[in-house]
Amino acid sequence: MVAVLGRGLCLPQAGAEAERFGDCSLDASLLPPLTRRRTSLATRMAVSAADRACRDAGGGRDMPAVFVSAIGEMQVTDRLCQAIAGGAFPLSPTLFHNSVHNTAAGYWSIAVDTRQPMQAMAALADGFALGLTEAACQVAAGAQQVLLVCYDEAMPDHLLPDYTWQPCALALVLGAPGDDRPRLAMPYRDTAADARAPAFAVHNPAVQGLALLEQIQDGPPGRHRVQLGPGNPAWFTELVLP
Amino acid sequence: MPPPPPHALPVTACAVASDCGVGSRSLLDALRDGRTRLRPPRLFEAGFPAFTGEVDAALLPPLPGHLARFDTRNARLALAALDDADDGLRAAVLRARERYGADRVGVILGTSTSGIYETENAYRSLAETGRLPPRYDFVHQHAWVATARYLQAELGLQGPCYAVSTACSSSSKSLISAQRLIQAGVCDAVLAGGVDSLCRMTLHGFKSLDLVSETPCTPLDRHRSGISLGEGAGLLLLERPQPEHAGCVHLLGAGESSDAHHMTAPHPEGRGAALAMQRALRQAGLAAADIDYVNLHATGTTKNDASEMAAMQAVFGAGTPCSGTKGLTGHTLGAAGGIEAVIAWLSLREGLLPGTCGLRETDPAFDATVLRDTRSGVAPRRIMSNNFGFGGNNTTLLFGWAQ
Repeated sequence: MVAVLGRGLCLPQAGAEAERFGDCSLDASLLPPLTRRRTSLATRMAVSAADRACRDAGGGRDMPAVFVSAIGEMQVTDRLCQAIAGGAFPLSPTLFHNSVHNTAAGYWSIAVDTRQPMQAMAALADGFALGLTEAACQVAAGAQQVLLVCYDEAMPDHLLPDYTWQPCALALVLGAPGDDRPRLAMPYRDTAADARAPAFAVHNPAVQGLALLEQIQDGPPGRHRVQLGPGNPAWFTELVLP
Repeated sequence: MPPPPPHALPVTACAVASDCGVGSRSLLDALRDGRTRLRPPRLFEAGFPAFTGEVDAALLPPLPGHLARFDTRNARLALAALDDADDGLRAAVLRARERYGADRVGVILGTSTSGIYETENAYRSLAETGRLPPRYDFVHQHAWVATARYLQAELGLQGPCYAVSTACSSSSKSLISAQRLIQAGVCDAVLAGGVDSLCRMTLHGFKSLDLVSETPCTPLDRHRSGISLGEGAGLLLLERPQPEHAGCVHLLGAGESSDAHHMTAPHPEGRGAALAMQRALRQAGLAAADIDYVNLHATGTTKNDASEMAAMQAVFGAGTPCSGTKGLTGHTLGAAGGIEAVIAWLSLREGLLPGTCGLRETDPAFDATVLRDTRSGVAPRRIMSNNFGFGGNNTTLLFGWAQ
């Protein structure tokens, strides 16, 4: 079990339906202005949600972090691939180093000045469930607190025309379990379960975490089973609300 | 026999593909003869002087028909390594599946750029015809988890499956995630390591940062002039310790850190690198004096090597033998940690300390015991392996005998 110590969300294009989650605006003011201008929406959303979750957990940011994203910096990579196809060399060095999957993790560690480990991973639609698994394993291995950030912006249209993702970043600060905090069990897959995706999820793994946030925010005390993503077998966790 | 340290996990099989060939035997031969395999690029035209460590196309098998939608150069590198008969990784994974159950065996794979080589080719069609070729499939070819999912399907596994992508430390990080998944009881065995293929983006990207050597790279040399890129796969099977694994090489411990300094340049005093090494020693319950050899990240750029050697000085002083092996394999980016873990495994089993291929004169600024030539007939017990990536992302792995 891990405790949920803080929550943060960034839904830059959401309308009124996001109001129940509080402030979901894009606010990457933690990044220096030059970095902010040069980084993707994905990275800026990740930093927004991460900063919000850390403030919700009491303000500390010096902790290991797990960044998980299905497509990461694919918008940046798309521009590089277009340049390569057109023979437009030399490539932009800034685009190149901002194309790595750990761009958000790297800029976060620099901005908050932490020497704690930064993880960057990908698992398509299983991203939220497996990011939570990775973070929970870090807590089990002795980390006091771990920041989990699940984020994705939209895909370049020509690569995945059917994916109508809403850009979303969702962050949780997790820690060793205590009685007065919401607690989560290690995610598991259930082959017998009805594998419908949660409401308003369309592929983006970060959006799929909203069902968990809603339950933490509005659910009655007790034990709840929460689905963490689509697929068959689907991922679930047990949420215990104090 | 005393029990292994609490964080130690046995490496029950491993496999490798690189410009040295497919299978750990080919890598061992290269470590012994110390001749570089780096050559001018053949896979595509670079447009400037460069050397790369390219895997011979004849060694790369096509994927089986029912998994053809995953077919990429990355997946072929992984399949080639998996099916090397001497290394026997496929058989070992299937034994683990049988023993623990398919849902208890994970696949955690490092990669920096996944199937981008196929995306680059597809974008040529996009530029010429306005459409991607029909066989191009982003989800199964370029998505970062694509090759991990291919291996999971190829081997009939159902445990956790994800990609770790922290640039040049990706596959070391995957091994650390594997260690934690087993220790937390989520998995009983994990296939980990990494795969990366050569591609135009990384070659031109490093060129744009002025980091590509015009000659085969010469890590740690006073006249070193940058990196030579390589490609390959380095895969390891970690398992929950069982009595019959006592004689296996073990992953004894690991350490991770961030520089919190710069996206591409390492901290000049190697602050984060030293911290990763110290954390690995602490987790394994070892002191610097217990380490017989350090396989350095040693990419061959002026700043990277200077930063790492400053960290070595801080942690070890000058006496611990160390070397870099990228003069043989090239810098395989997200596969480097996996391939160099296999080099550590080979060094322990075969009783050798690798030399630094390409080194003529060690940079006189380094007060260290840098091995130029491979030493044979030695019996190292514990080996450290470093990998550092963009974002100031540092990893250190410790391998050795458990007893």
